[in-house]
Amino acid sequence: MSRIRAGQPDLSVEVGSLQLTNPLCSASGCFGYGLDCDPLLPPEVFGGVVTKTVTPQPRKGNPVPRLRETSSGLLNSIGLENCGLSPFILEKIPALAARGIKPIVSISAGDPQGFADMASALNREPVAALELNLSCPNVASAGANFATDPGAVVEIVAAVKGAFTAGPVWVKLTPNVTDITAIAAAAAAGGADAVCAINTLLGMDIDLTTGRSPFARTTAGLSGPAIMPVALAAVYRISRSVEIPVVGIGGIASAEDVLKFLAAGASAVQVGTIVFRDPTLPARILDELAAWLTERGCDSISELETAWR
Amino acid sequence: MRASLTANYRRGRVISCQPDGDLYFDLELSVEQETPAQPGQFYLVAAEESLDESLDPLLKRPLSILTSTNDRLGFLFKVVGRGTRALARLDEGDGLDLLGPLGNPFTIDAEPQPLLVGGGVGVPPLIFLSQQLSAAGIAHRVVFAFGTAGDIPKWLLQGMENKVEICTLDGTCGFHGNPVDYLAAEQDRAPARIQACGPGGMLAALRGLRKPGDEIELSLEEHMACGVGICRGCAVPVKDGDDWRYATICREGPVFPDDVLHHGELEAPLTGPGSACRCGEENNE
Ligand SMILES: Cc1cc2nc3c(=O)[nH]c(=O)nc-3n(C[C@H](O)[C@H](O)[C@H](O)COP(=O)(O)OP(=O)(O)OC[C@H]3O[C@@H](n4cnc5c(N)ncnc54)[C@H](O)[C@@H]3O)c2cc1C
Ligand SMILES: Cc1cc2nc3c(=O)[nH]c(=O)nc-3n(C[C@H](O)[C@H](O)[C@H](O)COP(=O)(O)O)c2cc1C
Ligand code: FES
Repeated sequence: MSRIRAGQPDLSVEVGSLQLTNPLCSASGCFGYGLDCDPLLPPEVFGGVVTKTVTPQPRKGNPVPRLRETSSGLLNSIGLENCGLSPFILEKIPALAARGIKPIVSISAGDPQGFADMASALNREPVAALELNLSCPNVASAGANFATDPGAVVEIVAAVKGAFTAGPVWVKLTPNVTDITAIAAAAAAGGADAVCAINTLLGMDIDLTTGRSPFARTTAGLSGPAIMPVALAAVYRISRSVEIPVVGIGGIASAEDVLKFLAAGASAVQVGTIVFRDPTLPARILDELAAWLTERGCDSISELETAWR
Repeated sequence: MRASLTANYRRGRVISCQPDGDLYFDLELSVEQETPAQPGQFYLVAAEESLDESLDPLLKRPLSILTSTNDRLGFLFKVVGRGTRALARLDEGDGLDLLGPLGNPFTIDAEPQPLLVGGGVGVPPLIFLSQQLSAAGIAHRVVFAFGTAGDIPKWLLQGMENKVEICTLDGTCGFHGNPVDYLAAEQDRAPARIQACGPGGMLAALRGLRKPGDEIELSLEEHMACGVGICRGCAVPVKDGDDWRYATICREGPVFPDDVLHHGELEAPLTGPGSACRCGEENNE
């Protein structure tokens, strides 16, 4: 479903070498493996389809409860439930390929070699890019998070770049660090082609009947409109500190939100939680984006700068 | 394994939203286009203005279908938090976002004879089921449990008074006690298809009543975000060969044959919120 129509502005964008038909991508974990919401939300709506993070082996995920709503936000503790790499390659990628879609594949592993092995297995597949989800416990150092350790980030990205040549490698950043630009710089130093910001914020709830967190793992990840200002600041700061493109993620719920991320320095964006609220929203956001550009006399996203001059 | 998604996203208008008994609200809507629905299926529902303006409450809430005829939809709900409180404030003419019908329905079959057991907010899908069973000429029993007589949604049960066997926990109406104790007293009950929806504790206890020849279908509840299987939020353990896996209640349920549920290493299989805390491992998806 190409959204380029006669008299309509061109919504295509470039994230480094990767061409996207529009700036709106699905966020990992919020759109399954790309076809799970079809035909309510066909994957063709998105400029890029980022699939649920896969790990080398299948993961069952966390016990329930896995969700709690907060003020304009959502806490989740899914626990990276996924089918594992082999079924992903054997079933999910071909199903998307049959629709002419090359996914942006989110991967995660317990050590740099695990990341590199996944990357080389995916190097032979019809995928558009890899997105590294580093927010997972490091098996070697008892649960420390790769995403918060610049040295580990350089090492993992370099290992993946050595194994994957089929497309760009994006690195997804966690906001749960003192200085996110330091991690973005580490990703760039490792050879990342783009960084994506942000993953969920560390959050928690208390169940007053027990006085404890409802979540088996106590803390959870906060997403949704509540986190958008945090994400916007992260994108703004990162885009001014590294040379590589930034993909903005966090709380996007409207065309205005997309425009704010683009103005802050993002080359493209991803939508997650809001898709749960209204699966028809991504298509509406794109229509509103086109209308916004038309009203300001812009023929394409690349002309946005003129609207703000 | 999983059927393709047939749910629709659409707008509805409130015809009426009124208290029924001390605890419940009846919500009747008109919808743009009719979609046939079956008992046990549900909709995700939210007030339209929450998306257009405040984004709070953010997500829709799952409600079982009580009635679905032509361009009308009916629900019965209890106010328990922010989402249901926002629904209770709806007035005639207000707009609603609806996604559905979602999920898999109860079985409609005469053999073994259906025995419907509902507790609290588990009652609406069973009222719908009872009507469909009656329409199909299938004899069945209906046992409903409420906290106290004042809670009973009288308007809703109109025309069913003679059919429903009522239990109240405080004994103010019908049997004094819960439906499990009520049914446990029946030593010579014939084999039945027990079709149940209600609190987790009630569902777990009902399984203990199983007699040879019984079949049990349970409708489960869990917090939901997407309602279509993509967030993996509404997980329930099911058997998977010699192993088990998490199924999604929204897409693979909410009605499950008891035989497929995995009750193995679960701390609190069918109970509600507030499970025990474990380690403090960071979980940032
Ligand atoms: C398939 C399905 C069908 C349902 N049908 C009905 C119905 O017909 N009528 C009705 O009144 N309710 C029904 N429910 C439950 C209803 O969806 C919840 O009560 C509602 O989502 C609560 O939203 P809230 O914002 O008001 O409460 P919240 O602020 O989200 O929560 C308030 C309290 O309710 C508990 N809670 C919330 N949601 C659930 C849930 N899904 N399961 C268990 N505990 C929960 C919370 O832990 C908390 O203690 C159904 C749920 C499911 C999954
Ligand atoms: C239910 C759920 C599951 C998620 N799963 C993943 C995941 O598997 N991998 C990942 O990198 N991010 C995951 N995320 C994070 C999102 O991709 C996104 O970074 C975050 O939710 C912020 O965007 P949003 O506010 O638009 O949702 C998940 C988020 C949610 C709500
Ligand atoms: S509510 Fe998202 S998977 Fe069931």
